Formats: sequence, structure tokens, C-alpha cells
Amino acid sequence: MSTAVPPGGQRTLQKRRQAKSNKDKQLNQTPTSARQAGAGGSSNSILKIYTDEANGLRVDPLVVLFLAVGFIFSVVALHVLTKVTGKIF
Amino acid sequence: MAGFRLINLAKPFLPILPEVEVPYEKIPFDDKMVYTVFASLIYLFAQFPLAGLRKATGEDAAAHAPTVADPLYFFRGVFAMEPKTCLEFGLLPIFAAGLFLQLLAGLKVIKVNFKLAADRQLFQSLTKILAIAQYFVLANIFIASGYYGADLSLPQIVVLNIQLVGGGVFACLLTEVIDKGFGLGSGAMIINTFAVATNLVSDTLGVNQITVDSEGNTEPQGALINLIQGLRAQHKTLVGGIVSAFDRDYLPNLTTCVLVLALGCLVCYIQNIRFELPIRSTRARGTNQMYPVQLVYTGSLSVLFSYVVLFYIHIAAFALIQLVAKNDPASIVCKVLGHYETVNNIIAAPTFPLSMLTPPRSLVGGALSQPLSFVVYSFFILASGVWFAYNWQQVSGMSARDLARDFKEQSITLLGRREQSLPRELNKVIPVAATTGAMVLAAVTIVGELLGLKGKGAGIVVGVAGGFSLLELITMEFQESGGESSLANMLAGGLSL
Repeated sequence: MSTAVPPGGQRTLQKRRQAKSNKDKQLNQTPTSARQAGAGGSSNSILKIYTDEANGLRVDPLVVLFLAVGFIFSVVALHVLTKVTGKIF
Repeated sequence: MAGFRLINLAKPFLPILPEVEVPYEKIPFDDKMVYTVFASLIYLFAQFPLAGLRKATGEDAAAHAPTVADPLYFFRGVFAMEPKTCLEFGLLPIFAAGLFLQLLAGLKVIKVNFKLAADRQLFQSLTKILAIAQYFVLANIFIASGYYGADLSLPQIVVLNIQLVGGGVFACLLTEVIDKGFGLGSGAMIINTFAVATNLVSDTLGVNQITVDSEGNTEPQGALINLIQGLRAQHKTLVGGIVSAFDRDYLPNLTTCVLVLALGCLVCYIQNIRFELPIRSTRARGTNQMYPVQLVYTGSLSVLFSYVVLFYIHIAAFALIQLVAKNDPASIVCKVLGHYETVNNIIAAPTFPLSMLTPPRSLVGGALSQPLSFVVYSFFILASGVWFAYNWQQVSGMSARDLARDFKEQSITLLGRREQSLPRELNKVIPVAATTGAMVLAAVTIVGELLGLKGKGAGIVVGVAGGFSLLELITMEFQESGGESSLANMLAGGLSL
């Protein structure tokens, strides 16, 4: 014959403690991605890498575009140079 | 103290690391469009032939000719890599660094506290440094292997390094400009989609003439143009011209073009498969709506991840075989890994053990000579894709728990379900959608690659699936801008004419 377990007592306290520690654990868990932390970044189907402004050598986006074009032209110039001198360094 | 943390490695490089500024104010939709198109165009122009290589003609050509053909031929179409150009490695290092680091941080292998802005910034800088470092290492593996010619002089090596790493740095910065909010969506993905689209057009309709034999006969690059030109070519008969338009294997042929287009349509169809969850507002009555969960929940990222891992397996094997064993079949390394054989003077195809992870160059030839790769390659792409999709949906911030939190914030709940059980109900749908979607997308990739598309199959899957994800984002942004776009007005005006 099973007897009904009276309410309260040790077991309820233990259950409450467990629930509380679970909740604490979830609160203390660091987010797994920038988006989970609410700071933009990759989503389920988009890979986004650069969303924050980090420290470093600040450059304007237009400067980047112009420098990239400049880089291509320097490669063109290198082609011309090797063609004109007829030898590779 | 937390002790050693990987992200602190980025600290010493910060003063010299270029960093694009975040826009001060919101950029209008039209400006974003212009930035995106220009950044992508500059990327495409940067696929410029490398200077400083010896020409194949000349008296000492034989002694200095490249001894190694292209071992990465089946990655070219996936990551916008063009052989012997400044962007030899395309966007691969950027994708590799981003995917690996974000996945590892999500799985708590790397300790990053994303709540702290300082940690996020260091993590971002680390991603950039890792991408640039990969460009440097890959470039030097290729230079040392003799891919750019045997016994290069020191100035040549320096010049090649500057071009390859410089191209890589600028590829990083161009993606950063778009990512930071000057452009639309994600930089790496949008540039990759641009490149896939460009390749598709040039493979079908490209008119540039390429010398195909020793007599100096030329054939156009585009498959359709080749068919038309084949009808009146001097060096081919009429029937021979038509047949070769369908089965030439040195340049794109019509068969592969049709297959690629068919795969693209298939991915379009798969993208539209969705599971609709009925939702209702907890505030107002009678406003029932559907929340769509796409089958391809992780989009093209699962295929990209599979190919990044495959790439690193191949590049490690390439470095061992070429640099350690000098591609000598008698060497112990080559006995274990296999060696490279040059096919058509252009591509280096690996032999037995490594060939198992290489898609076959044609369906029939592959079935006869490398039947095991049908099993191993397919299994690898499927397993890595599904593994990635399962983990990515958990860590990317769009998991069931995050969605449930968003729902609660917007006072939405599932119809006929208790509000407390929201995460559990969503958890029944989202991981299943992610893994099944990744499996379907991997299956499409495998079908394309086993038919012998040499990377074009995977390329079109990545391009179309990524394009759809970006389109979703761009439409959202357009609607947010309130439709105040002179570009849209112009297009609408053009349509009404």
C-alpha cells in the first residue's frame, strides 16, 4: 500500500533549489553569438562578420574603394613594367 | 583572471589593422545599392592576371614552366577564385575564418563574451587577422609548390606575395564596407553571388576567344556562342562543331550549362518550401497569421561550410604531396595520400586515396575509374552539411529559444498552444527544418557534382540559395526605407512605359 506523500518538506525545497539553480545557470550563460546578444551579426542564413567598430586604423569606405582601384592599377603598371623591360626583375 | 584567451591574440595587431568606419547616420537605400554594386565590381576587376609570371613562350620557357597544374579546379566556382589572378583564393579565407570562428565561439570552444562590446570587437579583429593570415599561408604554399613556375627568383616571390596578399586584404576590406552597413546584407555572400552570376553568364554567352590547340585555332568561352560559331568554323565539320559544342571538356559546354541552369531552378523551388506555423497575437483577437519556417533554414551556409572543410583537407594534402614528397609516386607520403596527375594541361587530379574526396570530372569516367568517390564524397558533403546546420541553428541566435523570446516580446504566440511551451513547440520544427534543408541542399550539390560539373554545381547552389537569403534581407530593408528610392521609381517608370 502506497501512502500519499505529504506536501512540503525536504523534497519541495530540493525541487525549488534545483529550479533556481537552473534559472541562474541560464541567466549566467554567455550568449553564443553576437545576434543572441542583440548586437546584429550572422543570422540563420546570412554570414555577417563585421558589425562592430573595432579599434584599429580607421579608414573611410570611399578611401577603401579608391585604394582597391589603385591596387588594381598598380598590378596593371607592373604588367607594363615587365613588358617594357622585357625581364622579370 | 580568465587566463589565456584566443581573442587576445588580436590585440598586438590592432594599431596596423585597417578598420572601416561605421556610418554616422543611416545610409539611404540608393546609396547602399551604389556601394554594394561598386564594391562587387571592384572585386570582379581585381580578378586581374598576376604580374611577374614568366610567359609560356621564350627560350628558357621549358626550364621555368609551371610544373604544377591547378589542384583546386573544383573549388573555383564556389568561392569566386580565379586561377592565376590576384584573387587566386577568392573569398575562401573570409568564409573559412568567419564560419569557423563563429561556430567555435558558439560551441564555447573559444571563450568570447558577446555581451561585452570589447570582446565582440576583438573577436571581429581576430576573424580579419585569421583571414589575412590564411591568404598569406595559402599564397606561399602555392608559390613553394611551383604552381607559378619552377625556381622563382626572390623578387618574383616578393611581388607575387604582395599581389596575392594585397588582393586578399582588399577582398576583406570590400566585404567589410558592405558588412558595416554601407552596403546591403553580408559582404562576402553578396560578392560571392555576384561572382557566381557573372561566371554563369560568361560560361553561357561569353564571347572572348581562347586558343584551344597548337595551330592557334580559337573557340569562344561561352557555350551558346561556341555552338553558333561552331556552325561556321573553318577547323571543324558542321556535325563535329555541334557535337563538340555539347561535349568539349576544356571549356564550358552546353550540357553543363543546361545542367547548371536546371540545378538553379531546382534550388529556387526548394527555397520556396516552407512550414507555416499558425500564430496569433496575445493582445488582439482574430488576427491569425502564418509564421513561415523555411526548409532551407541555414541557407547556403551549410554547403559553404562543407566546401571550406573539403578545401582544407585538399590543401593540406596538396602541401604534403607537393612540398614534402615532391609529387613523387615512390615517396611514402604519396603512397599514403596519392599523388597528382595533370589532365588537359590545366588541372591536377589527385589519385586514389585523395580522389575519394574529389568529385569526378565526368559521370561515366568517374563511375569507371573512381567509383568509391561517389560514396565517400557524397557522404562527406552530406554529413558535414547536416552537422553544421544542426549546430549553426543553435548558436546563430535564431534558435527555437531565441525565436520564442522574440515572439514573447512582440506578444505573439502559437495558435492552440500554451505560451510556456513555445520554445518546445518551436524546437520541434526548427532543428528538423535546418537539418533536412541542409540534407536536401547537399543532395542537390552532390547530384550536380557527380554529373561532372567540376564545382559549377556547388557554385550555383551556393549562389542561388545565398541570393534568396540576401533578397529577403534587401526587400525588408527596401520596405523599411519607405519605398523612397529613386532607383525603384526609375525602374517602375521604365516598366510603365
